[in-house]
Amino acid sequence: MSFGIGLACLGAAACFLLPAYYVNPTVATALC
Amino acid sequence: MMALYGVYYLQRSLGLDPYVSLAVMVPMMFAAGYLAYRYVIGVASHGRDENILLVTLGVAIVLENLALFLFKSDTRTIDTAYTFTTVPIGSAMIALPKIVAFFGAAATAGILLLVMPPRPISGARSAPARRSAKARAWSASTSSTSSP
Repeated sequence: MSFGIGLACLGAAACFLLPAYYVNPTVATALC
Repeated sequence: MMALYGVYYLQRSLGLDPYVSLAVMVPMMFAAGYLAYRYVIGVASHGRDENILLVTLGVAIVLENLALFLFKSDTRTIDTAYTFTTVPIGSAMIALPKIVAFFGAAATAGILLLVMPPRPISGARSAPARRSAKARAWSASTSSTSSP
């Protein structure tokens, strides 16, 4: 359950981050 | 990285705004985390905490190389109507997505605190217990040094 909550937070962070940032395979860590 | 690619492709394929894709990505990532622990990390770690670190590192390496294989090493981003919108705050011009990200992160942290209130780590001693243990140790050391 904690892993799920943690990844849900990362999902929220990605939605807030992408309009101002970028993505490539090495950005952050793989689970982000 | 997984979530960022998810948001990227939701925007590119469905035209979904990144903030609207919160409704899709948060449940999807929760499910991914739950299933990853239930069927991969939890099984492979055999109940030992230190194994979780190794297994998550292994999963991270696999995912990163899978992403390199699928998406190449190109850097991608999205263009929205508000990407270059700035908001004057004092004498500074701050990008609107960064302001939204700041308040979004604060709101997410607030929700997380409501869902998971801070608790003492199990097995950790409370502050009074630590103080009394320190006092006992100090008392023992002084009595042994002061005795003739």
